[in-house]
Amino acid sequence: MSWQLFGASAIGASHIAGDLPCQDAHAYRHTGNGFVGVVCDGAGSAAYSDAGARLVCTQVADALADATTPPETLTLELATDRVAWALAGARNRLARRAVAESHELKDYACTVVGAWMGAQGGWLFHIGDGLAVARLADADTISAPENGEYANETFFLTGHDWSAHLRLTPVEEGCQSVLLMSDGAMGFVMDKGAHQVYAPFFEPVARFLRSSDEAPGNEALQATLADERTHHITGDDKTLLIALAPRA
Amino acid sequence: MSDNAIPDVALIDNTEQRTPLVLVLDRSGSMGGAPIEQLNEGLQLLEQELKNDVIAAKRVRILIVTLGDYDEASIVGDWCDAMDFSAPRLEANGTTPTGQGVEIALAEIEDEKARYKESGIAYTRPWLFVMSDGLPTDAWEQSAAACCQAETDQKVAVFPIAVGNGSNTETLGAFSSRGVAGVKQLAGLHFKELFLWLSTSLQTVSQSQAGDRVQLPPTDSWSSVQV
Repeated sequence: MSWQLFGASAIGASHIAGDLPCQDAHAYRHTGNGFVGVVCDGAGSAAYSDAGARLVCTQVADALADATTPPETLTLELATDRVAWALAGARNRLARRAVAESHELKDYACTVVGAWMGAQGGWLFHIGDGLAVARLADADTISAPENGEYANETFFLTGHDWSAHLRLTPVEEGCQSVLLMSDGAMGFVMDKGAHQVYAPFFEPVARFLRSSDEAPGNEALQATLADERTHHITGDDKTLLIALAPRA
Repeated sequence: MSDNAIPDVALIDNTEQRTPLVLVLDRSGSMGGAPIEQLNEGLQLLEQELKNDVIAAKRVRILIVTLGDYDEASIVGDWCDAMDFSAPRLEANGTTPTGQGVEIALAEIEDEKARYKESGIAYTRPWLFVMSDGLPTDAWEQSAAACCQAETDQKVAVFPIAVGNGSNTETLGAFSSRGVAGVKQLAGLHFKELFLWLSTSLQTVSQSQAGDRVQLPPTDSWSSVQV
């Protein structure tokens, strides 16, 4: 049995109104007993952040999926090295693309919210805002957004000090599900204060996805994130990646 | 809801994010007649426009400080969410204690931010509007310097608005780190256009997410060209 993986990115109302593309992107890979999931949110102020977000999430997912060591066996230091290496690779690709297209690296600015998991335990990794949750039987492990003083300021992989803002959070054995989300989705996926998953949203979603195959599950998740009711909550793009652990 | 969406999903706004706005408004004697009437109508328009925007109504927090009486700057009511905001009817009377008004506004902004921090509520940079038709009648220099510093330290975004013939533009410029270039001159008595612009701008800012460089709407509907 392997993890069930689903993901969707829906364009926000203000991006539609402003004729902007969806600047969120996500990628996931199955790896033996585990998975890699990455959500990237391109900066609204960066001209090619949609391309940056797409490139970073696929590159990082591929790089970590190629790693042969089970992530849950690594120390924090080794796991950080490995994740930083994957991120640096994606950042280098972005830098080369920026040169080739006569842009600046910051034109591709995006945040990173990821999970690198083995059969049960593993790591959440994070630069900037958005949020990751690993749900265990008795508690949620959360990787919270890192903002500046103001909610509309954050940190990006393209920043010169990106590695200082890279945060890893261990996920203990017994994890039942992992959610990775961009900040646009946080307002309705999480409860007030973003301390835990908002059950009236997530329980019906998890129940539905448990009995879904990948393609129809992704379609239904996409339609849910695009629901007009979300336009009263956020004008931003909304991405949610959901991993459901294999049933024992 | 789209037909293929997941059924029975609650989509509720649990976001807790605020955009604080303080309006320091001159209601001194010289504002009497048409100017104060137009200002009051502008405030009512601001109330309506913010209430009409479902996201801004929940996120924008407003406080009004008035300048008038005998060098008395006073807070009208208390901080409130835009959805609960009721535009006051201001009466023109007295002098223009701009320094005192801005000092109160800056202190209120820091207090409000401290309350957000305590409750774990995220916020965007506070906005401070300073609108006046005359020269300050109190000792304003120290308060202006503090206001500039607060703006330089990114504690607040300052928008000085000069009403009338522009004789106070230089003084109002002392409250902004951009100096005179930061002052907007209200064309005629286009208060309605000003508050419509403010409402539209706040709708943009209150919805802004990390990484947005917020593009404010043009001000030419209410501001005359600076010469």
